[in-house]
Amino acid sequence: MASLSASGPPLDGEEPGRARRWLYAARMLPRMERRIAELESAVVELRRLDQRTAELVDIVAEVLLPAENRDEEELRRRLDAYVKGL
Amino acid sequence: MSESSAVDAAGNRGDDATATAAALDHVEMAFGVLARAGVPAFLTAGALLGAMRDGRLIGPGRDVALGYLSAANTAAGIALESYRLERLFRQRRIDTRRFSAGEFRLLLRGPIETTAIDVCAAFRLAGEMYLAPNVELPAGARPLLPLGDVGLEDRRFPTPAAPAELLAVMYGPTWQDPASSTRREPPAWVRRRLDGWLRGSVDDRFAWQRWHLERMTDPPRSASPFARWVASWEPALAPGVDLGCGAGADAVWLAGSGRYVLGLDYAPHALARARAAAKEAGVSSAQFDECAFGDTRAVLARGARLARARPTRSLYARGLVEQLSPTARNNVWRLASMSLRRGGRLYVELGATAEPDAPVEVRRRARELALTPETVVAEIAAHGGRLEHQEPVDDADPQKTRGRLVATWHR
Repeated sequence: MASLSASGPPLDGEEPGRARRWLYAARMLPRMERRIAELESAVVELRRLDQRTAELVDIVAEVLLPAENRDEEELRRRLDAYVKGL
Repeated sequence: MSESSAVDAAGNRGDDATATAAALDHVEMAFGVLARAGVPAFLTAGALLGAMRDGRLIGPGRDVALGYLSAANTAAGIALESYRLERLFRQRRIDTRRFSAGEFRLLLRGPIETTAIDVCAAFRLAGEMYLAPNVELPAGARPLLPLGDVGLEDRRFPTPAAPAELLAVMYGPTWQDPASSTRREPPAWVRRRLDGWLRGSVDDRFAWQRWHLERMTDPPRSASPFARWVASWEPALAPGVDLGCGAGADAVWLAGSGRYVLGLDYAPHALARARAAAKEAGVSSAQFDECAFGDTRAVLARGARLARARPTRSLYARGLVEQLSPTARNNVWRLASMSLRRGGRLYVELGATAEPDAPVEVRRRARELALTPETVVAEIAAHGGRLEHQEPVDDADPQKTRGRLVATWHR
């Protein structure tokens, strides 16, 4: 093992438990960094679902609602077919 | 004294004075629209900085940023409100460009130049206060309201309640020093939060805009082998849509026979080059329009229109899907699904990107996404498409494409 600072690995004669904890931490740190990066990416993607919601609500409100005013029968037919497909 | 050297009371020369007055007229108009829409708005960024320092716009440009306090308390609500506000300007025939779900730009033509006015949402989410595009106000910061006001050139405009506090966050505690005119970079976690809530629909557009601007005066490129391959499949005059048309080389060539081709791209500079190429070639049946495939609204609306088009339009996508995020890529398959149910085909060419010298950001994204033909086939099938034809990589192909696909969506 490479020598480190005084706060690093235990020196000869020190309790073996500290050595095991240090080794565990040294192994886990890169894994935790990767895991944090994965979680950060997942959170970004989850936050982007708000944009998807807004996009869909916007086009429905701006297109479907006015469309109903123009062609009631056609829209009702399409909505019936859509609901049957759910 | 010549007109161009005449100086007005604020110290501006003739043309400068005219341009400045026009820009400020636009700013007053923008504040008026936002006020009638019921949102409290204020100067921010460089315009606020110049106003607070010495009452002058910071040159050489006259671009301005406005913030407004959103009434929404969810990210979706913030986006919906921003869409609504943008529509108010579009209804006034003002050209706009959307940067994110919380920020859009007005492009206002004046007698001398075009003024850009960025309209940025300020909002509270997850217990913190933010101002698009990248500002997090510190905990304990004074509220943005009630608005104050400040003199800018010969006008007065609204400011946040504590403009010096906002400027310190944006430019540092030495914001009054002219040397401190560069915005501070936000902490990584602030950028990540705002990336999630607001961004992702126009990835890499800035890079493509820069790339096309550098090539604005280049002669038009020749059509790609992909365009000739598509022409070998399609009837001579069958109309089509070039997805991610870039500078329009393929669209113009395909339209040269009289075929109607609509080129779609999200980079306005690309569309400008494409229109110029069509004009130079004397091809009137190539038209070009803006569409960001990461913007689900744009794709759904475009798909609804294409679904009604008669005859149906085939879709071509060369070097596009491998640089798109999964959201944008799914939007392309959704667009194909909506457009092609009555006929027509989707032609896809996968390569390292369409241009060998594409922006470094785009090439990096394509490498990270590492899209394979197998994944494309699976995604097309998941969206109801059927693979009609697939050509594997041809090692003799100098463009080193990784494959071409043809898919259909018949009912």
